[in-house]
Amino acid sequence: MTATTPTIVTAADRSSATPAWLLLARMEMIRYALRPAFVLGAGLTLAALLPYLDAGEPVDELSMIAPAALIGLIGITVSAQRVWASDRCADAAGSTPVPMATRTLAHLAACLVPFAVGLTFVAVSYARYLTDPPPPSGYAALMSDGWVLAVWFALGAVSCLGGPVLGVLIARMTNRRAAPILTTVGLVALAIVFQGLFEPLRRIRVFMPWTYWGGPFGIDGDPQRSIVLTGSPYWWVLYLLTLCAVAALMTLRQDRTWRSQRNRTAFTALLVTAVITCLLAMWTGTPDTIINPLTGDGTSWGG
Amino acid sequence: MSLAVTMRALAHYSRAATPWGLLATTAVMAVGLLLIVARWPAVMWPLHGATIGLLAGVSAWSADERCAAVVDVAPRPLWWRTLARTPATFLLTAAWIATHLAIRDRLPEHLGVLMLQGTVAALAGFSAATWQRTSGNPEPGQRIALFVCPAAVAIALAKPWSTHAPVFPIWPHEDWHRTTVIWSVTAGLAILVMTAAMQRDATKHHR
Repeated sequence: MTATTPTIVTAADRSSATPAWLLLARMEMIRYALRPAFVLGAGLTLAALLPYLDAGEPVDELSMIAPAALIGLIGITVSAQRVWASDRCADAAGSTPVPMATRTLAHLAACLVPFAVGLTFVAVSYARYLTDPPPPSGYAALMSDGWVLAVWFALGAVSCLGGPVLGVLIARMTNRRAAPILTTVGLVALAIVFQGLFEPLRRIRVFMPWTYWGGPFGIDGDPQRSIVLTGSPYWWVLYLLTLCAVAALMTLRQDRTWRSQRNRTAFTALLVTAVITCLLAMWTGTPDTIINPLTGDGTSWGG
Repeated sequence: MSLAVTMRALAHYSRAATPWGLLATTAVMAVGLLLIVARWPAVMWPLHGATIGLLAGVSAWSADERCAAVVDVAPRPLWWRTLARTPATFLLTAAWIATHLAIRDRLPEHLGVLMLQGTVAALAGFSAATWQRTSGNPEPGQRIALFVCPAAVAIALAKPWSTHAPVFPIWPHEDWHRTTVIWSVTAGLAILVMTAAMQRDATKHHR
């Protein structure tokens, strides 16, 4: 008769089996979720869904600005601060067994927290869109469900991922505390210029990480008329996700010890993919501006 | 000590303590952003809110004390050091008001409210940072700036609850009276916070 020795798995064994970056990622995710700026932004964003408690309230097709601004934009600063704070701890601890690339990876993983909130916002809005569509005088009524989902996913969810990833990149590239602030203001200024209100810039506007695809831009004689802008939001989603990947890889490559020929090739491939998908987003999809035949009934954007 | 000597000491401290580079950059940026707003007010209006955030953030930043470990134990009280640091807030506010007066024809017909917004934002940022200084925090302004600037940009863009709380209005149909109330209350709170900070520091010095 053979006796088998029971194996006792301790918590220490479990933690040693888990990769370091995953342990760090979990900690950074919790820290990100507890940042007051994020909590406030996420709270305000989710509060924008409260009107949907009223069964008669139709979906607001312009509401995707809420997660983008309150979670994505603020995420640039929140992420940068988190990285700097973690670096200060690492410096204070002296030589740490965890390299910079591992810590960076954990910070990048923490960007999934704001992304999850943005995704929730989009999911609730889209569910409402399917049951209570927006008024026919809007832009969403002119397009397919898939088109609307692609636009909202890009504007409401991907922006919540891109902003924080950009924050990690900024923090890894500079120690200047004003950098995330200046980036935020500059990005907003550019986004406003390329949001689609200026007609000559409408085709190329999709190179920006945030732009409108439709809204009450107005036409001659009706300043509140809704229109749909040119381009393909499907390719744009791919372009934005590729941009996030480019930024993430660029951030990781700030650690010289992590650089290799393989990730350099991957970086180049991602850059090429970003250029191709951006051009496809520009030149495929809706070929010309579509004007809603119904008179607009909302507030115009000055068009 | 005579008044002239006191004033000279104050001016000397002020020259050394004011972050001139940051201040000049912010003033230029603020004027630039306001000129863009004046060119396309309806489209570029969120930049007006962003500039207000910048003013609040940099005003707070100018209250930071890099040499807090030395200065905080020196006999000069907080009110003296705060007074020496006020030129930063005054200059930013002056740039804000002067630019608004220069471009007033291109702005909504509520010039007083618009000028109030920037002035109060600068005062509020400075007061909040000064209050934090009394807690022994040497550089609270940076942290305040890192929060308030993006928050202002986000609120200017998304305009959450703008019907009930029109923080950065633009259209004539918006409740400008309520905006005046919001910013006046903020100004009152900022003055209270500043007074409380001075009181707190005076109590510390008397112990």
